[in-house]
Amino acid sequence: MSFGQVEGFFLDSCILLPHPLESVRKSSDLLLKESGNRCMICSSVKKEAINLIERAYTIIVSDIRSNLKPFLGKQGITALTNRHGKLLADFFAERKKSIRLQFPERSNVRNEITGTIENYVSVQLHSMKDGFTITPDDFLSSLVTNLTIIEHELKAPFMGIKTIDIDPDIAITSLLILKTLIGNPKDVDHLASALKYQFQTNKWVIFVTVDETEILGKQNRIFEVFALQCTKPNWALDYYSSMTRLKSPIEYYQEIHNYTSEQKEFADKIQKSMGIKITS
Amino acid sequence: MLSDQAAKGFSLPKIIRNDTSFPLEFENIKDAFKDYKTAISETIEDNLSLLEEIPIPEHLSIDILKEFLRRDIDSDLRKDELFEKAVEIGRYAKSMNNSMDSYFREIFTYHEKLKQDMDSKIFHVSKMFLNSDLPLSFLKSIGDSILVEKDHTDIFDKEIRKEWRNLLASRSNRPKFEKICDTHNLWIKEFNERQKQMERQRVKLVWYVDFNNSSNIDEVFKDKFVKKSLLDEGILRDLISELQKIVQEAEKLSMSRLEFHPFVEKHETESDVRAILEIMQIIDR
Repeated sequence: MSFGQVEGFFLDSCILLPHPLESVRKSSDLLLKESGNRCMICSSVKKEAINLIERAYTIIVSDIRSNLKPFLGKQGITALTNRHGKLLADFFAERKKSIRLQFPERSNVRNEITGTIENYVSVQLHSMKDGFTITPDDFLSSLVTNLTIIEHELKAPFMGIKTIDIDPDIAITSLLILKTLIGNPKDVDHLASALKYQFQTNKWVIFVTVDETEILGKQNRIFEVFALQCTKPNWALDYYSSMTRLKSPIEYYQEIHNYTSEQKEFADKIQKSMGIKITS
Repeated sequence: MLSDQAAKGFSLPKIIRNDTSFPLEFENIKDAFKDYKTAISETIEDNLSLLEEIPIPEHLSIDILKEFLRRDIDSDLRKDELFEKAVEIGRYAKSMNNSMDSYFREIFTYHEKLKQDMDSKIFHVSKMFLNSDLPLSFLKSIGDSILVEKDHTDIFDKEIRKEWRNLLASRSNRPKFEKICDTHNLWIKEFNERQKQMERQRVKLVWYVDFNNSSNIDEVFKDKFVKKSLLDEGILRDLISELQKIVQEAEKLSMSRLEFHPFVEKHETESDVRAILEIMQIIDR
């Protein structure tokens, strides 16, 4: 019999990215500062986050080169100032119009992306001091430079944190979808990876996320059936302390009285896919 | 905004400077101090050796190109305050028994300026990319290589601060002092090798793209629209992928020493961050 077997925190990508809500950001930062050495991510979280960051960066930079640069070139402007806002506003309005015409059924996403780039460019333009002039080329190169630096910095926490190279088992992911109705397949992969690691090492892991809709809203059910504890960063350390008092995951599961059919099904899948017997 | 970077006169990453390696020695007994002129001529030769590693377009005469590069690099290095400072710091590093204070007085400021220079290099590569139809991987591979080098500089600063304290405490104990220098040299060796590899590969890529887009010697390193069609797709791809490979190896190396830290708070409200995060959310739906 063993107690206190808590391996650490499996983080969702949202914990390592800046969150728009200050309170969420602070609680994530606090967890990372206090327990950074006990935090880890699974390879699926890393892959997803890096891929998303790179795609977002690519979209903005490619758009700047393919659309904004030729537009400014055509206008023949040699010096850009913070008074050129109207010109850029017209450009973005025209772009959205042409997107609606080109892709009438699927224009929403493209328009939202264009809107985000528009906001970004307008903030950058208006951040220039009165009287300051810059060539359009230098202005756009500055934007691309900043984005390149930020892209690297956003990726850095995912590169620096301990990564567990683990592939989730299809049997477990299917069961997770079926029993929790989590819609995002990537979230299911992350949870299944954490689960697999937990039973492979026979040490508790705590999945930390701020995703209320898909994961936290179902955290009781996920623990009840799969014995995986999910939590917000705010309570992660509290769960950590309380779980040190639990027996190891396999022993814990073996000592459950009167298994539900879902628990039996899960135990069966674990035995088949990992060769580990977790029922008594 | 980095708008002032353009005016500072920094340029593309078009020269190998090899100026970040400073092995520490208690006192220099093996060789004479490298003077500024020798450092310049060695660096020029080092740069010219790259010509053997990339295909040169037929319309540019190799001799004329060599002569041009010799003059251009010489002129750049002479104007380059960072290069001059690097030679000076290199001298201090080779006689730590006498110059330890000077070394530590200069090294951190030098690194701060070096990092600004790195940002400026990204600016110029971004400009080249925007005035081209080159693949994004061109910008990304060079940008990443510079940013990994920046990470290495941060690691170096962090480590050398610790070593500084130990060196001060062991000032009157030569064996211990020398041991700290040896330990330092051992760990920086691998970092320096990777950085040199990255810098060489980066410059090779810039040279290949620029030379093949210059119709004559007067256009080399001048602003112009860069066309992919003037390049051999296979060679470009190989140069980029080789750089990406070296960057990944350098990244792995820095991960072993880079303390994990969450995303820096100062960026929380920056519009660049918000733009990337918002688009991530849109495409993830």
